[in-house]
Amino acid sequence: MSASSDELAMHQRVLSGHPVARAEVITALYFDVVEGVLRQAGTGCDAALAEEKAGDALLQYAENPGRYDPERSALRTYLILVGHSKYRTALWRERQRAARQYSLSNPQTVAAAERASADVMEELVADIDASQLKARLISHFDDPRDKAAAALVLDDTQGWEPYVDVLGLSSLPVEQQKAEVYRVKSRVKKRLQRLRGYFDEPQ
Amino acid sequence: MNPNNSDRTDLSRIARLARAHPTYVAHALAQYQQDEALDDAALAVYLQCEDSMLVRLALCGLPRPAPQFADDVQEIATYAGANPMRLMRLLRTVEARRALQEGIEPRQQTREHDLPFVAARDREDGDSGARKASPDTQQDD
Repeated sequence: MSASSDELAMHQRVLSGHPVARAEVITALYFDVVEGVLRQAGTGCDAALAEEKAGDALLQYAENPGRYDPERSALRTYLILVGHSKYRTALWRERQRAARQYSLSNPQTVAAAERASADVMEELVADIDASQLKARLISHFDDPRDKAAAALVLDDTQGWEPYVDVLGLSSLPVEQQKAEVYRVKSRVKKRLQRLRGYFDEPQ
Repeated sequence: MNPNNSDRTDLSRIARLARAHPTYVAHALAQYQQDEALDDAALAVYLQCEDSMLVRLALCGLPRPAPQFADDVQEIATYAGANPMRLMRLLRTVEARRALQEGIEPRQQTREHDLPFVAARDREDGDSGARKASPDTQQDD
């Protein structure tokens, strides 16, 4: 899903280097990004750490906006992915540090702590794999609207409202919006199922 | 913590994070507060803005080098409802102190986030000799 028009406008302004643009983009996106990272981190996550990493993602984006490619993803999606990745990395480091402390204080807990670190590392790798697979799946759609819808489907986005904006249906009556969203989602899901079958085959 | 339910207008946490980033105004504000032992309320009084607007100010980037420097300071100040001359003085004071601490002449610095202050000083030197005193001795407004 590529950037929406409002995101693209904000991104262009940040790219121009205007100092106020940074504050504008942070103010506009901060809470969406925090919510997204918290959602990705799941229930029982370290909420303070997740919010901190969401903030880091935004601050670093505004410093180096050239790293973001508006053709490849929506700005919010990109920032949530970066924030979540930072969160997972920080969590992993924290657990590694804890494992080292266990090893100094209580050798019997070393194995358990190391297993915990390994689990987090495996989850990290799985996340990266999932992210890459998602990008590959989306790349098989030609229509930008289908790409956007596929990204939402792959994120397990429920309901019809989130699809309205990305499909450009906001000017239609609600019933037509629902019908069109249902039609596009069905088509995209079928195609994704076929593509997943392809990617699940040994390459 | 759920930002949805708690306080959707509270950007103070990310403003605090920005203090660690030298390319944000937050970094300069934090440095000035530390040097002058100012709390947020006192800083707001100095900059002649609302306390709540310090967050907006903190999240701005530093002004770009000349020829945009003066306009950028003006726009940042307008965005945060602050006095542009006070803001310019604060930024230049922080930069001058940092240069002194590092034993570096500001003119010789090349890092991008240092350039605006040098550019501003060069510009003012060129405009008039009336403002050549150190930042702390300048008149504002």
